[in-house]
Amino acid sequence: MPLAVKMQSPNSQSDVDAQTHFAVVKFVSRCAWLIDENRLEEMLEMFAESATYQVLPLENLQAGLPSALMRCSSRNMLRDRILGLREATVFNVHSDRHILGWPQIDRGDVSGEYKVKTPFSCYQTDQEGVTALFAVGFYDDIIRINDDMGSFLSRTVILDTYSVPSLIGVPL
Amino acid sequence: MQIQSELSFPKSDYSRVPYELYHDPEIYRREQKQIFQGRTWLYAGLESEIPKPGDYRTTFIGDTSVVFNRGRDGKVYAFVNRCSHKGALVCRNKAGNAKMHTCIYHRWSFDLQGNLATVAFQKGIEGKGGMPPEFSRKDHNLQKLQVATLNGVVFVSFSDGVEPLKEYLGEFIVGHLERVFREPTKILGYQRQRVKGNWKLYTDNLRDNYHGPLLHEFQRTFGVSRSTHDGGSKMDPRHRHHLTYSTEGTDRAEVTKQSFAEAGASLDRLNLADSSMLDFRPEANDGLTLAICSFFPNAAFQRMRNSLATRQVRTRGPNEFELFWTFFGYESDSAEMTERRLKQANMVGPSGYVSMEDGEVIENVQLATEATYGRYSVIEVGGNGPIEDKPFRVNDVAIRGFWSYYAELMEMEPPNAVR
Repeated sequence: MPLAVKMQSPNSQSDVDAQTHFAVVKFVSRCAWLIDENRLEEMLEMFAESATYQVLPLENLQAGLPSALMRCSSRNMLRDRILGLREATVFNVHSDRHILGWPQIDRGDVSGEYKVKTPFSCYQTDQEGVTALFAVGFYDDIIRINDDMGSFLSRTVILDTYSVPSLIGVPL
Repeated sequence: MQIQSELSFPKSDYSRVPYELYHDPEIYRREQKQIFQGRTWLYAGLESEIPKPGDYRTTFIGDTSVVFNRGRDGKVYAFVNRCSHKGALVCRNKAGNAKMHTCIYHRWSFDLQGNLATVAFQKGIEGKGGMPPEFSRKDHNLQKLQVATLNGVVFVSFSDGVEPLKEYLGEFIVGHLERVFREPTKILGYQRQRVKGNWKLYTDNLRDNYHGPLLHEFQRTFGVSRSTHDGGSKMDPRHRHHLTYSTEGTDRAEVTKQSFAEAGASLDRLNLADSSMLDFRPEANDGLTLAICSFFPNAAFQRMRNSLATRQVRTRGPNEFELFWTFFGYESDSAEMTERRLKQANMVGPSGYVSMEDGEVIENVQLATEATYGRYSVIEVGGNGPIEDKPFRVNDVAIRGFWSYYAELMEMEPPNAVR
């Protein structure tokens, strides 16, 4: 006879209430939506000024190595990356479509902050209308939520698909 | 084996390269044998990846899975990752530590040098069966590769006839590697870029000094490396490897502005909001800010300010390759220096401001040269004719150098071929 499964382990910090849970889900999914809409400057506004953003290959995470594909130690560095895409860097013409899973949410170390891990997939479609799975992984975020308003304090994109097809220009 | 006539080099100086070479499956198969398993050395990895006896890593040399590991005697050994029994993979993990390498299929066990140590049921069970009496384990070792290391960089060869590594590299390239690897290294991580193009489009790109500041607008915009900087381009005596190097802050403003205006390329349009990525600490006492060595056939060794990396080319059929980056620093690096290296790596790798564009343009070439017969690329920047070092940076002579050695190994040299 199967054991009943507890919804939360006794050691979990997460008795995150439904309202906060929903606010986090809205926040994380909005970020992915803005990327897909090519509204990168609005996406940037979701990051706190001192927020960090990086894309870390799963193989480096597993080996305890720090090298990241994108490493922005401030929002300004992320801004520069986006500006570079608009004005300078050449990359493949495509559109993105993110499909996210439900986030795992735990209370952060500071009140009002949450540790959020969200599985994601990103499909790219080229100019001929051919769609391919581009990347899979999870977002490892620290998010501050205040009255339904959110802000990324840090985001690490853990990239399962670390043999990157072609290139990653647009933040994942 | 006769190569079809349309796959020959129409000019003896390799200033015309047939596009079919980037697509033809027969050529690709021949390359695996003549280039990757031929009279060449190939970059495998770094000794700092296998510090302790028993440490191993798998890599790819062309299409072939190869293991390099540290033996009990402290030396590095390498072998093809293929069981001598029925051809299964011996090491199924990417990396690890093992006292012996045991194939899961029939449990044949090999020592760290690739010698066959034990065979299950070699003498049969209760005297029945087993291997024939003339079976000798030492006839069934793994296919061993020659190994040579230089300052902790591991090279392997399938050939017993290849010249010693230092000769293969040439004095100048040896000097560069000794400078890049002048101290024990510390691995910072790996990045992989899977490009839908033929591997030789990448080796061309590495040796193409012409494209740098023209394609890589980010570089030119922030003055990281401009054609007008002091620098040079130098090959080994046989012209297969190449070093491109430059120094920032050495061009004159008026000359720079005019040269780029003539090229229709604008400069200095963007201001970084956070320019900490450009913070550079000179290290090597040679005044260089950029030095990238292209190694024939499968690697590059990069110094871009403080960002240090090896780049290994792994073939994946005629239409794809994986560029495998190993980022490193030195054991002696401070935390601050490590951070500086990690941040500057924003310029390279699959999301690199510079490198992503190489991926894109290579894919463009592969696409545009599909089903292209009897047509050739043009390699004449900096002159045609003899292959020789030039005192100016804007040249792609080293591309012709690559093809001259390629043609020799592939037995495709045109009449009166330059070398």
